[in-house]
Amino acid sequence: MEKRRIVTLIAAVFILTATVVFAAGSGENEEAQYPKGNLDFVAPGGAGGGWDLTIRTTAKVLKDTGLVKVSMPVRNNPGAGGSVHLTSLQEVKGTARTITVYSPPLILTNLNGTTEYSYNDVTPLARLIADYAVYVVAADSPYKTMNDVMTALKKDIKSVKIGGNSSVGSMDHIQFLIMAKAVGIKNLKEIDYVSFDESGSAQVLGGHIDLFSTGLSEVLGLIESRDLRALAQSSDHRVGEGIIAEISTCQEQGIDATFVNWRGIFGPPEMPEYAVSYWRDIFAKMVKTDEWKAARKTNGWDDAYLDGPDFKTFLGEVNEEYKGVLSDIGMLN
Amino acid sequence: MPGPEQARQIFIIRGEKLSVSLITGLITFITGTTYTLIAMNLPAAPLGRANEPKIFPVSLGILMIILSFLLIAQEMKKRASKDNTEYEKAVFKIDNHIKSIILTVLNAAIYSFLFVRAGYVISTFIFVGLELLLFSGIKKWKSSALIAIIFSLAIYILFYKLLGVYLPMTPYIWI
Amino acid sequence: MESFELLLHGFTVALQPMNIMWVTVGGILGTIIGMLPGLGPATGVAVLLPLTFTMGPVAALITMGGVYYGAMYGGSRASILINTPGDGAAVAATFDGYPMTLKGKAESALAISAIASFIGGVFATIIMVFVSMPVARFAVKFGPAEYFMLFVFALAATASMTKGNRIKGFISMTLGLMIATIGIDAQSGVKRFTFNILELQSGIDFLVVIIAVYALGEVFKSFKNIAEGKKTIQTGFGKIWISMEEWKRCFWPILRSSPLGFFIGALPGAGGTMASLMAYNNEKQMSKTPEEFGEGAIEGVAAPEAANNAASVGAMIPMLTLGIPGSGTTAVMMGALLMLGLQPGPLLFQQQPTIIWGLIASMFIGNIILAVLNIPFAGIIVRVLAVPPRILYPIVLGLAFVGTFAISSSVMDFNLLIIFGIIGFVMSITNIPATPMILAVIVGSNMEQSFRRAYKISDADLSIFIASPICIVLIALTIISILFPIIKNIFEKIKK
Repeated sequence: MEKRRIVTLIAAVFILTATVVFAAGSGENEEAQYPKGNLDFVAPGGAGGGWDLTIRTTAKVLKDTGLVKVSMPVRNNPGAGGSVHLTSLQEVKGTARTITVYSPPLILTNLNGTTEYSYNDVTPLARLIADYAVYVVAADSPYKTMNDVMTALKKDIKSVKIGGNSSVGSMDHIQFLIMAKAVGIKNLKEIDYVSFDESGSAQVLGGHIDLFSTGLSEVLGLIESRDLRALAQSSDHRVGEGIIAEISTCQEQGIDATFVNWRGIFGPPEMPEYAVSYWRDIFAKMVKTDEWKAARKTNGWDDAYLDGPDFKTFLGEVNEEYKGVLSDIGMLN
Repeated sequence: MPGPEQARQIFIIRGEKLSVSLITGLITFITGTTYTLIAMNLPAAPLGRANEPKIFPVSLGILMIILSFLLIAQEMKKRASKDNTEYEKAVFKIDNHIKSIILTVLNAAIYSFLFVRAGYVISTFIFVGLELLLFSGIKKWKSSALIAIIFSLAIYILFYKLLGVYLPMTPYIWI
Repeated sequence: MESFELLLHGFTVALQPMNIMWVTVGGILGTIIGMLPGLGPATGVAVLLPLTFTMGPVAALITMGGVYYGAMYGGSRASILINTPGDGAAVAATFDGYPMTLKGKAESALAISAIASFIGGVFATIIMVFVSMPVARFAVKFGPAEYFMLFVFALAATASMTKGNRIKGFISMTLGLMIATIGIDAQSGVKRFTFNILELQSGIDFLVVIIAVYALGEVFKSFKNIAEGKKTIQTGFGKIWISMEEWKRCFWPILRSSPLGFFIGALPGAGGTMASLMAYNNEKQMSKTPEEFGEGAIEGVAAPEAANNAASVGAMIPMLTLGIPGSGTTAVMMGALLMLGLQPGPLLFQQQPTIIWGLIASMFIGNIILAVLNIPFAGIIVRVLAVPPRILYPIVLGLAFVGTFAISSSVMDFNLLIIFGIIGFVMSITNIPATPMILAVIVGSNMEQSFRRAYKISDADLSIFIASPICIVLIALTIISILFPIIKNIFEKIKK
């Protein structure tokens, strides 16, 4: 009857632990000494990716400048384009320990139906930086400007194969469609967009796709070595130095649209007011430090600081813009 | 056609002899059919060719069904040749070790319930402790408890403290 | 001989005492991480990310490199001793490594694994010194159609090479491909087989399947073995070394597998698992005694071990020369490079020769250090076989779960672990081999996506799959590998 005794034991231990756990509420008042104890910095994507890079750099600058004195360990919680972490944030509603980073996929994953949660289910603390889209072709490509590509698409919508690293309906796809929409291409749905998983630049180098829509920081090395040629970038001003500064904007080429890959810092939904004002103040100070400016330069990030409330307004605006494009291609959910 | 075929094994369930290959063929057929049906009913792609997301899954489903027929046919052929000498080796009976497996699965379900709620160290102590009891018997509970606590603490230190891998902490104790 | 001079310069960097220390630290850390289920080189390198801020770029890269191939050395330990690979690249080491252990030859298996890893790593680094740029340029010739054909070849070869009933091998493969279709389809945004579970949207991590099928599978099997009164595998231990005769059997397989592994590793998206399995299949086909494979043939350990280490070297090529990460590990390493303010790409070799050649030189040194460390280390780790199963298996179970949690910090994966553990157990009693399924889960998503990319690019014209010489070669290889047993039978009949 040994088995039965083990089963009884399992049940007993289980009930005991469950009681202890559920008895444990979280009614501490940590307002006065905030932040105290470990903070929980989370990248909603894998190690080494854009979000990871942003939040690790932020944590490092905050530590080096002494703006935040407590320890800020960074962990990764990847999955479904950041949606997995967005769901876990709902479980820590109203708490103040979790700090996370997001960018346009926060809005896109909600609009395309990946997740029910939107930018309204997080607390925007500050927009920090911007990267821009760049549209690159192989060095020997016949296309010289964005307009060449658009003309070709107008003549035959299937003639130019667009590639990107994100999936259909996500950032690399949308940032191209915004430009195509601006020049008046109607059947955006018909444009062939091929999603590659990180290896898109190899595909455009090998001539397997015609145009690669990506982030400027992803292909700096290949543009500098002149293996890839940039047709245009999506900012409203020239960025960077040297050969990067030579890349004209879409606006200069007469395409009246911009796309900003913004990255900002967020807290959990209904973050307590004392914590929100603490972080707004910290980030306002941080963006002025030399350490932050140096980090931006190293990574090729443009300054895009916006305080929490303004950031929230901005999120509302881009939400409408992305909604328009997604509904044109029938991916609005 | 055949590669080296092993001696055929059989299930003995309530005295009935059933060839493993035949059962496998049936399971494969059911898996293939179910999968194919779900795949055919996948939503259409919002842009591009509408059926594109279905092509690959449906082909896989059909391949699975074909494979199940091949397996069953192979088995029938052998049965027809009355090659029943191979039918000797019974390998599978519902006995004690199946019960142990079921208990392990239950234990794991409890573990996954407690993992975040009770924190890594405590839930692991319970999980590994119970599993040790399952393997060694209730009489050795002292050594089992000792090993379980050493294991959970050692892994906690290795993963969380040294490697910086995130593990859930126990409320109030903060380890 | 410009490369040679640069390499000498690299050695002056890599031989600085601090850098030797870093590569040793990285190598040891990597070996330990590689042995733990779920933790592979990608986690190991990610662990180092915060540290790289405080190290210089050279030290950071050297340490990460050490972790990467250290994990390749360590990864096969658990495969050989307790049949539980911690990572895809270590799966092939179970095929003959574990049978060797059961026959009491664990010492030889561990020794040949370290030796083959060493030769594979050094051989690949030599190739890298001379031809990294041409290899990178050749690798970009692989478009979606070529990748698809490569995956088809690897899968077909693995499914038809597995022991036992070949139909069951193909059933296993198909099941793996089905598992790989779970998640959001990147080419259309359609959710497939996710049953409204958010965690399933990004698909099922192949590591979870590996841990479930092997680690949980071993635990389940052990209940039966204990019930039947089987005892501890081994209690007395000999020296970790191999005999001259064993060495002779392994010499050519190692030399053939190293360049193969290097090239597969250099293809973005292919990786160490493909490399080691292809090397294994290749040796089995070429062997005069293929029936010994899977029963404890020592060259069946040597070939995949050499290949996966060579692949880890090859994988650095697209990352360093083109700025294209081909695997999870190199993606993290590239993130580290960016954080250090370095821009990977064709100009990196010219702009930062000290860093690059320092890294390459450190690969030679690191491999020597690891081989030297691993032999005595294996002497300690082999004693795990003396641990009574009633203690060993609960611990394996504990490690399997914590390793799974480390992959994506999600308890949802525990449920998958249990489900796949049960599937693995059902497969083992119905004699369906697990390996084709594992490989299919690893490459399946990539394989389908490659097909769909090619399909889109060619406007649904299937002739794209036979349009390039690379495709035609791969198709020919696939046909040969499927028909090989039949061809062999015919030849034998003719002989008679």
